[in-house]
Amino acid sequence: MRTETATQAARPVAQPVALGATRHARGHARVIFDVLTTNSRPWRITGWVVFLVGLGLLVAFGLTTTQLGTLRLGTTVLMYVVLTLAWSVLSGLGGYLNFGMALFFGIGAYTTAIVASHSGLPPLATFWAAGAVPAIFAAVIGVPALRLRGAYFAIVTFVLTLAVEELVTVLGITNGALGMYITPMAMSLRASDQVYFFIFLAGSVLVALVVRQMGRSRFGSHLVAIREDEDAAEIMGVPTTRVKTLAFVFGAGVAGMVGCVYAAQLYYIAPPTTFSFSLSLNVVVAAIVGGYQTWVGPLVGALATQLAYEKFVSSSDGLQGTLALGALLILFARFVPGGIAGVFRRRGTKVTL
Amino acid sequence: MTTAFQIIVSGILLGLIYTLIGAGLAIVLGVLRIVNLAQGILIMISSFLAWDLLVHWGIDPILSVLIIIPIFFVAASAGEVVMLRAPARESPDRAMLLLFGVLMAAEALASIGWTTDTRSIDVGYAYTSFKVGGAVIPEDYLVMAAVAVVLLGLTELLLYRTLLGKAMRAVGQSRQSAEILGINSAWVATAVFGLGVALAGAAGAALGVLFPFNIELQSQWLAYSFIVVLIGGLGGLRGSLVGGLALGLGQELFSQFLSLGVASVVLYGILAVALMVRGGGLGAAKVRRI
Repeated sequence: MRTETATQAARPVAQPVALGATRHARGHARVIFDVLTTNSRPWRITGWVVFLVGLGLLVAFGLTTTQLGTLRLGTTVLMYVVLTLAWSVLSGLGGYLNFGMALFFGIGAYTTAIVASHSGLPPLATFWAAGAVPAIFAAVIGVPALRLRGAYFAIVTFVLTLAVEELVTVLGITNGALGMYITPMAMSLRASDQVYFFIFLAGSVLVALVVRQMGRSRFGSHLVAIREDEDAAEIMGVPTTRVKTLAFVFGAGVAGMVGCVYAAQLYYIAPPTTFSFSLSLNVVVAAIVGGYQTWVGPLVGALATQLAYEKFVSSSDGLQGTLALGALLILFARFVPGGIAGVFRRRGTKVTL
Repeated sequence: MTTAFQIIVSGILLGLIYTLIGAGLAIVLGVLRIVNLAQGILIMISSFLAWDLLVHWGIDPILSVLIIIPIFFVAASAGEVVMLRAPARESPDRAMLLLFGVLMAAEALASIGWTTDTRSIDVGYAYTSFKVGGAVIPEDYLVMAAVAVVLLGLTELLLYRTLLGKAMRAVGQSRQSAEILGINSAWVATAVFGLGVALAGAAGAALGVLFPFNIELQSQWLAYSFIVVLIGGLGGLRGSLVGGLALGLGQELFSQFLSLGVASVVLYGILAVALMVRGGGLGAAKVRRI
């Protein structure tokens, strides 16, 4: 990773593809560059065509399909697309590994359950609370936690997931280990499956565009600078703590909203299923398999991993699913450093990885 | 008064075993800068192996420790050479990702192989105890604490009285300088990883005798290893000893006043807060200084 970006940073700034980066990041060091703009123009156009055609096909599929199983698989894939994209801002651009997406997902799901049961609102209407509570939580823990570098931050996210899961299991308001029920929406099975499919589809597109834009903005450049050399970034005037915390809060808020939709969809949540490591692991594996330094990687990774389970193991929750996930993570961490997107980019654009 | 004495005695005995799991993590982290996320599951696997050895072959857990240590050392060293070395060269984070994969895969495999049932290792000395000055000392605590002391002593000798130990400490201080002085740091790294995992394996057999266990306990052992390292830092076995004893005493104290669930919330909470407030325990160099 480090050598790759060092070579790219050393490329002459005069290249047309680097325009986006120079416009926003004028006055910053050479370490600041934009991963996405290193793609050449034909590839970018091809990418957009593929993206729009794919989107059109997905919409057509969602409207017309009668195979509810496939529709639900699509919903799961899209859920992981959203989570992985949200994860990739701090962890991909910023280089801070986060093993705790389940933490914020779970807090969001529980916020929905608690607010919906106390106020009588439909679960999806608690969307904002489910995003806000994890975001505030992330802001509170982010400032001290992000003082830690690298592995230590990862450990904190890991341990906090354990702590909050135990807490939710003993608290009264969360109904302890019994879990909580949420009143489902009054709809036919097919209609409700379609609703959730389109919610996650819209969420994926929205978050993908936001994350793509973030990667090209000054904010994204700051994160990349932090990943490359945090001390240098700090000296060059990057407000490191603020940038990292914002990225963390963004990821947490999105994960919380996903948790809200998940809770509404399943209308029953319990501590071990919502704060499950398999969810955090799914996100990390999707990012590693797809490649997490661009916004395309998470799309590819979530699709590839979820389809792989569907094909080879019954579900990603069971033991075989976890085994397959672990094995995938080991293999990609060992043999394919840039993920699928990394391999593709290397072949297609001759960018040295 | 007797309660206080009781807490202190069992806390210290337990703390010696916790020192062992902390030392396993601390050695790998201190020398290789890699957080061994698979530590907890390796401890669990060792407990299961000790159970198997006792049930199927009638081997006493004390002997099992002697069998498990070489198995774990060889397996971990081989794993380091084949899988861990390349990503570790790239960055410690990459190695940690791989170990996260190992954690998940091994947990799933162990759940399939040994099921998720709760087991306990029943040995003759598990139910006997004797009284010293009003405190009840269970014999299994005493035996396993003695095993831990012997192993810690041997590790201390290895680290401070042998050439290999000196090389390990040198690589921990500065890998580049060690290389310049002719140390083959790659093989030292292999030995360090093997040693760290072997210590965790020894602790697993000991812990399996003391507590009933199931696969889910692995996250607790991982968290406990973190706590020991966090309190004791990376300054060698003496640091781990301080951390281990503090954890042992703290756990005995909490379990007197709090229910099991609340006690683990408190422990994990303390760990998270301590990590954030004082990352210094986990290698002061990693805290932002600017």
